[in-house]
Amino acid sequence: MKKTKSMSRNKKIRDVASYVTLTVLSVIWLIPIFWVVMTSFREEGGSYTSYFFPKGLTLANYVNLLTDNSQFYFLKWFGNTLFVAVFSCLLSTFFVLSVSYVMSRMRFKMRKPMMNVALILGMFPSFMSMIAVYYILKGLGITQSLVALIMVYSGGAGLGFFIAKGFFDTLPKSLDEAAYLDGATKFQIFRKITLPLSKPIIVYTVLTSFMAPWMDFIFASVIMGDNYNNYTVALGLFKMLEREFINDYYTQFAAGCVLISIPIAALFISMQKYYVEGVSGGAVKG
Amino acid sequence: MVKKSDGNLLKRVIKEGDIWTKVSMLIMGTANLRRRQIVKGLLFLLCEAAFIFYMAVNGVNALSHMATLGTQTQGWVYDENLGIDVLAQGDNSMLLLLYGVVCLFVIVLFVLSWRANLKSALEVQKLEKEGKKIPGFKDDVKVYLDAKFNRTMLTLPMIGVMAFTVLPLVYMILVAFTNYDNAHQPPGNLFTWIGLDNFVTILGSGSTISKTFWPILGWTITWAVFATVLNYIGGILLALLINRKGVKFKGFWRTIFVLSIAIPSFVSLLIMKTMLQPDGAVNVLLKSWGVIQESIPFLTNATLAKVTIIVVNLWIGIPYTMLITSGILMNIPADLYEAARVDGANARVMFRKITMPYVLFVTTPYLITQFIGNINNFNVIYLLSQGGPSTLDYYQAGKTDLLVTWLYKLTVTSKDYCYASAIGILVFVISAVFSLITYRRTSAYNNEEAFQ
Amino acid sequence: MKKKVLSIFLVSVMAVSMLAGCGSDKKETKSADEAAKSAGYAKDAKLKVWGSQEDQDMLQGIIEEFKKENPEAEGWNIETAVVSAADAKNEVLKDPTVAADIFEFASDQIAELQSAGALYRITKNKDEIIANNVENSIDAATVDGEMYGYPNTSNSFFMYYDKSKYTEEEVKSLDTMLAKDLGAGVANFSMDLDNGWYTSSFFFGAGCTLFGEDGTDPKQCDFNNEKGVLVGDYLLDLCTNPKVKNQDDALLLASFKEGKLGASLTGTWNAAALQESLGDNFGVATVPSFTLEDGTIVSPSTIVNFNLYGVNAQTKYPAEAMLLAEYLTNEKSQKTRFEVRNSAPTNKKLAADTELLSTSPAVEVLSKQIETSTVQPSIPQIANFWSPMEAFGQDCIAKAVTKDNMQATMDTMVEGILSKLGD
Repeated sequence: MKKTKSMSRNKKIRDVASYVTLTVLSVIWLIPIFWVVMTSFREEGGSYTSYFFPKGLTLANYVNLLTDNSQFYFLKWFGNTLFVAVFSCLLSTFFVLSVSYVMSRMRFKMRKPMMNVALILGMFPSFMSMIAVYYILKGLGITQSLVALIMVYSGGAGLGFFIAKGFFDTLPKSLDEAAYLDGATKFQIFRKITLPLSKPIIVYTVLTSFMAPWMDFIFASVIMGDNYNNYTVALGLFKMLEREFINDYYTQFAAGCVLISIPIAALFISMQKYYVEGVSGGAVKG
Repeated sequence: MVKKSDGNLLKRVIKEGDIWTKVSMLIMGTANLRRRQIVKGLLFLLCEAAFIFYMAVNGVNALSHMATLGTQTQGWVYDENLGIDVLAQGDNSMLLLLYGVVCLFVIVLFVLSWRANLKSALEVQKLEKEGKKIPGFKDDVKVYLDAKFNRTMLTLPMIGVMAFTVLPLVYMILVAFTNYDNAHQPPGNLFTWIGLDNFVTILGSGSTISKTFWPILGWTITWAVFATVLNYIGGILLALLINRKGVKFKGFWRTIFVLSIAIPSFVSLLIMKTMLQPDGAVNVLLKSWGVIQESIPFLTNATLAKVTIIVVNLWIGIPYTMLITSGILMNIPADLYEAARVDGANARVMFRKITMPYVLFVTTPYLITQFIGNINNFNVIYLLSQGGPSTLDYYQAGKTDLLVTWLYKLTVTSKDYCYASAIGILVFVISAVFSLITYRRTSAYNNEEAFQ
Repeated sequence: MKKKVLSIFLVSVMAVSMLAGCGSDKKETKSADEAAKSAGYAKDAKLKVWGSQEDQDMLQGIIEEFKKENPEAEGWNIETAVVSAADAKNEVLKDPTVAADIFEFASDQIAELQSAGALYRITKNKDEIIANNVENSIDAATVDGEMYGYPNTSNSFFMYYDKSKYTEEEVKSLDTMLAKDLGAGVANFSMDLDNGWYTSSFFFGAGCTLFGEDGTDPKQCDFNNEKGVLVGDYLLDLCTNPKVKNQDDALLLASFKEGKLGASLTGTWNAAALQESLGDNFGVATVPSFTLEDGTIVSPSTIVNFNLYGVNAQTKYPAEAMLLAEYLTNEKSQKTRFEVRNSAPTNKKLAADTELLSTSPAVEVLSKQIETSTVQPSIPQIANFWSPMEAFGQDCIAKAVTKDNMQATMDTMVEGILSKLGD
């Protein structure tokens, strides 16, 4: 009797401790997010203030960011990035799924060597070769265009097949074999059997490749050069932090950060379940 | 492998091939055309025509410059009409090198298609001899959706990888063997091959660059180990905490932490950078609470900056591991725990003997990719500290610079491409060797079909 | 057996189209000749001008004026695009064939641009340009005795101060300023102490030189001589002085606004923001003098660089580009630039026109100070200057340097400034 009582008290203590830890951690995790949201509403400009909480709140930063086009074309850039993100994620997903399916389901001579090569190819810092990429795009006649960015973001996507391959590895092969005996071709098996089962990994791949264009500022700046109209959001936000602009634009920069985070975060949170299934199914097997 | 079968293929063509097959060696697709595989034959012929056209227009020229990387320096000629000097174009070593690489790629592709052409020629010849039906274009397409489905699926991704990863990579690797540095920038200057000199300079003792290379390599590895291991342990602990039986609203807690993944990392890192400055929000907050009097030099003191960077990286990295391990923890067979409980094991023992080994077993590949990713983690360092604080001990690098960010400074700021590329190769070799060795030992590599 | 046919076909088509594209570069040589054949100017020249985003409207205006004043340019197609002077070198060297025909660049990029063969040598009307612009700016536009850029604006820093805290007399000497008690929580003086662009002025003022007297010898730097060490000591004192703050632009703007700062060093780009926050107390002055430990009084010599217009060596219309570049930097355009963008002119007449300059106290002070300024060396070795200077500043702030090891520290710093990658 006494023992169970102390055990349940112990359990209660541990529960409380868990909640306390989780709360503390949550606060730590949320502070930067809270701060940037707060800054985006701050009335006083400048990047530093000697106090934590703003003295006045305003919507002007958002309004200016979206309507004032004298220096920064935020809406246009936002549209550009969205366009690039949508198409490059479609292409990348197609590439990744093709490669991972083949690597997981088919057996052919060059399979293992190709996997080894793919593993190490990703290890060379990519910006080192960006000048070469620039001239290749120039040879194709598409520098300074959004198409070029789509090509760059999705071109090498085929290399990132490991997690998706791991996921396909966990799908039972017996399904394929049954269909094969019924006379289905490999293509039909892929389309009618494998793909419908792959929702988690498709969501995972779409999510990760959708996010890349929002974050890259190095390739985008090399490819866009003087084509100010075709900048992406990341590049534009970076511009706001330059010496001439930072003081006037820091709060708008924060507003921009919030605006680009909202769609991505919403997408991410709503798709969280599939992401977990996809990545834990895939990472298990790498 | 290619060489051996190449010899065999040639021998077979010469020994067994009829006149059409032999002509295919010169005029691709002849054998196919003769046997009424019109589309296929024309495709082969087109390949050859395109190749010859390319070689005539650009290829030969490009190849011939590969050895010297250009000889004609750009100059100026006085123009009396205009009263000014006008430019006399010279060779651009950088473009000559790039075009040379492209030309080599085209030649390799052509050789492959030439071999495919010969194989196909032998094949149709054999089919004809045996009186079997020769497949038409439609039959071929069918094969590519079934038995050779792998080729169909891999074609486009492979083209992408070749054009945007492999080709630029080969170009960059070759640059490491030239003297393409700040003083030899095209188009005004030529650069040329210098062999292994750059590697000797970097690895040799006492040179300016090696004094920086070794310490930075040390910090790169330290960083990669800490960043990977701490993220991993932190993530698992967080996942365990959230998945505890007593904890309610699991989805809510998880979402809070997932927010940090969902916000583009360049945004969160730039924000953190501002917040962690001596007069940034964190110090302001701590001062206003009276916790500290003097600002904490989060990013300006070398040691503290290193710690800060690792900790900030935890903010970004832990939720990832948490997500992944949550999934895995739920997959651990419950009967394992049941059996352990019967044996009288307490929670701690169960964690050490069951949970940890299981999680570790299934996530080793993830750990390896994380480790490699951290060696090349450009964003965290570049956006957070830009390598700072600076030090007088290093050449153009700060105390928190990783090799990869130092490379960035060498290429973008000082345009010393050849050194940067040589360092890039060294980093590449280190990570490639490490990951190939470890990856080959993992269960994922060896028991691919365990679950199929 | 139709192995890989499709893939190979696709790849080769792609490769061929790509190479056909790449190959076309070579034919551009003739363009210059074509231009040459028609004596005088082409009727349909196509030119692109680069400038920062803020300058775009102003540039359009100047170009319109240019067309009005030069009838031969009526049919020219002149467009502008956004690349700031700071980014010009990277953008031009990335691909000179598509870079603008005329671009604005910071003078510290000139040596690298010139050695990479990206700049046209200026021979036409050279004497006139030299006569019209201040000597320093011509020096900055000159490499190995030849001129490669049209001087446009000068860029340096000076002191802003809060008139409610210091009098005009007090801001002449840093010693006086630091001795004054401005009350609790108010810093007397601030500057970017770990930025060589600012701290170098103390060394130059004391007579130290960077890359020799004329700034062209990559093996010379005497920041570690006797005077240099004393300057190092002085900087260390500044760093450890509780009345002095290490502040970059963002911080000093915030501090001035809150009334917590007496004076600080920065450039014209902050003039508008400070005028707004300080109001009637807005004051500008040349960088104040200071006293070394051995009693010498030193007037700092601020580093100055210039924004120049360059003509791209790859331009198809060199003569036309030069005509426009010259117009973009003439007295009239510089005046427009001063009025619209508050830039300090390099034109001698404008720089001496006190009546005009008095409308902008910041530019006035800057123009006055330029006579005693040091032109920022532009040899490529300058790229190695900033990092050791920054490291020195940071070490001072972190108190990792003491006066006892100052000589050794300065020696290491100079070694870092003069080091070369291949050694």
